[in-house]
Amino acid sequence: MNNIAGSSSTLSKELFERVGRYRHKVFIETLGWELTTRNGEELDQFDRPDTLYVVSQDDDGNVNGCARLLPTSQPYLLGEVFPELMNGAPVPCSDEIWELSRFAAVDFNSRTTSALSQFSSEVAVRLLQDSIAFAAEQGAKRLITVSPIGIERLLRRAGFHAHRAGPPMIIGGHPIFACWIEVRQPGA
Amino acid sequence: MSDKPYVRMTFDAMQRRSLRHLVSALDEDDHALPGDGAVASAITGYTEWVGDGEPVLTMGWDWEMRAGTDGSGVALRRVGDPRSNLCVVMRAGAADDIEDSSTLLKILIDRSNWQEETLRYLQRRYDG
Repeated sequence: MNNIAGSSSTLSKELFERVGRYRHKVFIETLGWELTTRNGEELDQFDRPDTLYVVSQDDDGNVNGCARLLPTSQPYLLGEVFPELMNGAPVPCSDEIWELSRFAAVDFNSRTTSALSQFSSEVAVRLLQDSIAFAAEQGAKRLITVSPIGIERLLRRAGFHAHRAGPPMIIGGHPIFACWIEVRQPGA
Repeated sequence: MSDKPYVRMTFDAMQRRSLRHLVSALDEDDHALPGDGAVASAITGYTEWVGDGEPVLTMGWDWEMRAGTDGSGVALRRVGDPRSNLCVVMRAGAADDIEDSSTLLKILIDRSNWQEETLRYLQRRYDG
């Protein structure tokens, strides 16, 4: 298991393309989300040159997880697309608050892992921990995430304190919600 | 940046708020994370409830399904800690404590009759 972090310009072009194809496989082919695609890759308007990524690869170099990080001082998914998930509160806008989105940890090469168990593996926990640590290196003190509610279980398992920003919305039969994640943990 | 990304409420005030069912589901795979006391072989899932009025309250928790005590039907039991946008305190002046809040929320959930509505919803959702 090997996690790499960086932007589209610091990750290799080949790895970035594999991340786009991996996201297509997870979010469009497996979860059935209706998202923008480019040449078989799932990429949207928030995949910009300044966007940061954390990518998990298995020992053979296959992508088995990914996460996207955006500062809320720039346009981001929650602020632009899902502001209603904030339950009436203003959407965050700060260099100290980053958004975690497009989080997935589905291992398509594992015989034992269900394609829907993207929040339950050790890969997922490690990827989440590394994503939060990488955001902290950029100055983040708190993260906000738009995610399926299953990520709350993962946050608990990984030892992070998280609070919902508001009630879940049901989209395509699946609840998604906005969730605060404290970067600095008690006792840290 | 606000220091408190949650709704603060006293236990008494919480007891006066009613919650309505939003959605429930079975866990989609056998790798789901059980809460404390959950058994790997049990049927498990989650349920989500929303409070009426302002501020909007949201609470969700995991459950496991067991055979009913009278030998007929099934019963649901909460497992693990609730997930919410709340920090519940015993008194208005009490310090915020997320672990205490979790304990108080568990008391509120376990006192309420959430199982009936959840089972009805699950039967409708998965029937046929």
